[in-house]
Amino acid sequence: MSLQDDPHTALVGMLRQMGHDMRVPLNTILSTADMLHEGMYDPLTPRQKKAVDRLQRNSQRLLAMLDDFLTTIKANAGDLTLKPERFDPRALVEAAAEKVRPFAADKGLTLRASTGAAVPARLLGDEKAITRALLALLWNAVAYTAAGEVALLAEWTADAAWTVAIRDTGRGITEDERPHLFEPFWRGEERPQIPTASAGLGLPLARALCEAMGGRLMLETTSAEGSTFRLYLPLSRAEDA
Amino acid sequence: MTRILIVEDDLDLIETYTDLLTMHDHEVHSAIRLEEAFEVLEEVSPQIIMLDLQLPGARAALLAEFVQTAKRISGASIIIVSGHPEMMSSAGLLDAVDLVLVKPVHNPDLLSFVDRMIKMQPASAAHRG
Repeated sequence: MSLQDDPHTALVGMLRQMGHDMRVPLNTILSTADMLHEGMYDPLTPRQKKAVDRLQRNSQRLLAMLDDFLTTIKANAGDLTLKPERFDPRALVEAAAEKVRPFAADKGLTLRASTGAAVPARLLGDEKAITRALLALLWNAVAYTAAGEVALLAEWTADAAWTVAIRDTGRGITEDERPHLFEPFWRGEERPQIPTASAGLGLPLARALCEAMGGRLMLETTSAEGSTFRLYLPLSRAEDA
Repeated sequence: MTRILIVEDDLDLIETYTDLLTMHDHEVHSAIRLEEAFEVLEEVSPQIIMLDLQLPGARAALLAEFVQTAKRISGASIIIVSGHPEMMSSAGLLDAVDLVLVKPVHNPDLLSFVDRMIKMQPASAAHRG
């Protein structure tokens, strides 16, 4: 598809190709930094090791950004390959919360996670994609909350869907900001208070993943006392499948 | 030795600039938020300030106030180091700063700009503090 015939499709194709091609030099940087860190060339002094740590950390950060970028593009293009499998929704919610909890604690925030009794023990869905969407929402909530708590509440709805509310005690989202919330790389004037790998891509990525799984992600409520995002996924019970 | 203040919210980048500049005999101070940068400004009276534009809670008016205060307090040269230099015009800083560098900045370029900035400063600014 040429740029003249269909600029949108051609540009998306170019971005995807560029994203994949960027993995090659990134691979070299990461591998070389790993070897340096392991002392495979020569033993490093503590100061040199600290510098190589920075190389590794920032290459990983770049790789995570690239992954989020490519996944958002693929999901929006309806081109994401999903692998539905049996998973334990309670364990998934706990594991996601556990991953982000230390960063929340560093900021003095409490991170609570709970799953309602009606949620089935096993569901059928792409555990990796669901975890990624949930993590993106959690990072976002922690990043933009200065004090208080972030709470995750998973429930089973009357129409047989798995839904998770992510509630924070942040400053809320203004009327002007709302239309831009799910735009890639939009951040508003307020900068996140912890560095996040997917800065500017968290919410668009989470929404694209939810929609690719036939679900929805919306901003449910927002005020000066905080915001609640809700993820809604029509998943089957594993025993029904 | 030049007193340099780095205002940047990425800790790894602060460490990288600090390593580079201290290895070249400069005295480096840093702040990750503008509020903190105002305090460091008073304490160390920097000769050069390397300022990122996208800082937590840094709205355009506060950035402009910081630049004006820095000029008044220490006559510092201001180098904007940003991944989004086009934000300069919306922040109203175009005429107020001395140099704009786009990230990533190559080490030799940064070192040479720092040297050039210091040579261009009046002697009173370079020796203050």
